[in-house]
Amino acid sequence: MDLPAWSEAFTPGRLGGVRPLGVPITPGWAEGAGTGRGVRVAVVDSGVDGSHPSVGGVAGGVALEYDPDTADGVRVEEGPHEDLFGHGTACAGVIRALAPECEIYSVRVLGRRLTGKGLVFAAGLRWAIEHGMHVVNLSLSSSRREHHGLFHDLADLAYFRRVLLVSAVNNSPAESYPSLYSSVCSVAARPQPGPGFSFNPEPPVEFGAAGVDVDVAWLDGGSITATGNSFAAPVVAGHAARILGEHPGLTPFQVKTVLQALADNAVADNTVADNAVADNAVADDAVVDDAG
Amino acid sequence: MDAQDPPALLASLTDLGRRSFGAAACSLAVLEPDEEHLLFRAASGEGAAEVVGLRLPVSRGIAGWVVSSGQPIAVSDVRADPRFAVDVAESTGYVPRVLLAAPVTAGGEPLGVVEVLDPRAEAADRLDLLAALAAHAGHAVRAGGAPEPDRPDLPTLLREVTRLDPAGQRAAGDLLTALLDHLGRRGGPAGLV
Repeated sequence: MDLPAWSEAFTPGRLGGVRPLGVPITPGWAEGAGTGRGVRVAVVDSGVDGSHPSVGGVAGGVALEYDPDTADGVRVEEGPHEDLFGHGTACAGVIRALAPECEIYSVRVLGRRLTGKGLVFAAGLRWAIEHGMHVVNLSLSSSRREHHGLFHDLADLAYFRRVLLVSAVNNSPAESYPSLYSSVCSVAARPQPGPGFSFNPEPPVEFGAAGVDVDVAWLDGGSITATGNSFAAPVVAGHAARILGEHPGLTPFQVKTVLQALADNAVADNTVADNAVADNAVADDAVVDDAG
Repeated sequence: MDAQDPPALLASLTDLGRRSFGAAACSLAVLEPDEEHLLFRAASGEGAAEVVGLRLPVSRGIAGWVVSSGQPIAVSDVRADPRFAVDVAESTGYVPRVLLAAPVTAGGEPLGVVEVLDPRAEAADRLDLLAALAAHAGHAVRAGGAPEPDRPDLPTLLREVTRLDPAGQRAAGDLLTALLDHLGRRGGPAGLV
């Protein structure tokens, strides 16, 4: 029998086994030794100084710049490059502290001019997705409405290839991409310090991590004490690397599920969860009543 | 428009910013048309005289990162890292203890950076207030502070047109007329931002 293209994957013999998540999800199961070994993490930012003691080397990198003389407007140069500002190094240092054996790749998309910034950012994200990265840390975003479709396609491509995107949410009230897409881990700074993170059951900003007065690496081997959502995103990226080091091949939504179970505000018993379910049931009833 | 004499709107905005944060200084840098430099157009408080008119590349420094990434940042102990302090001093006129910086945008387009130096302690983490100030700055830059538009280089265009055949010259003439008419109605290239 000829089957429609999408149905072929489900014919007997074609469909392989899938591994369910372990239940219950405990920190020991989820992160194991927590090294991030074998996990490739891209830092899409201003470059990464691999010689900084907090970074401990980069596995590779690429620098992208706007160039109207190229076919797609972006020049791509693979190889070592410096960090122009210090911010990429800061993010890499946060990730390294959590996942000491992960492989960090620097994808530099910020450069000497802002012309074509969105195109360069998108090209850098595409490079990361197409070059075997497992986690991509994005401490920047685009607010241009015409980029919505471009970044949405890239977020979908990342999901289909099991690449987890972790994005700092923009503080401005305007929408920003790709931080607000459902397959992306969107992160804001939380006031509480510490290596953990919180899960917010009300999307789009589902994660909060330390990002207020945090000590981060900067240029020339130095460090600064800084505040911003952009320092919180790499905390979640680092935890994702720890999870994927133990459980290679998890989909982005499985990683989100594991992250939710590891959150500082996750509860060990079902008490709060039951209450939450009960509250939702009440809310649903209220909606029905209103509608009636 | 002389960079040393910024419009009153931008000057009053930095004054308002400084006062609302109880800060030592507040400054506003605007992205230049080349999109490679920031020009400090207005400042209030400490170091203001030195900062206004200062031109910095967007490829370095904290202001450069903020306008490039579109993300705000607060640095709470600038003086702890001497190299960073030198970097900051370049764009502030003096070395503050605390620095807040936020991107100024309009419709998702980067327009510049607003910086607040040494706010009073209780305002040091008010990135929400900073975002509001930056939003206001976005409107101000577009309304009253945008740089003078670059006029089309007509002699160059006309030289190129004279190299075309007569039909090409007529077509180019029509196009130029329509283009200049369009730019005139829209208030020049800056109106297209």
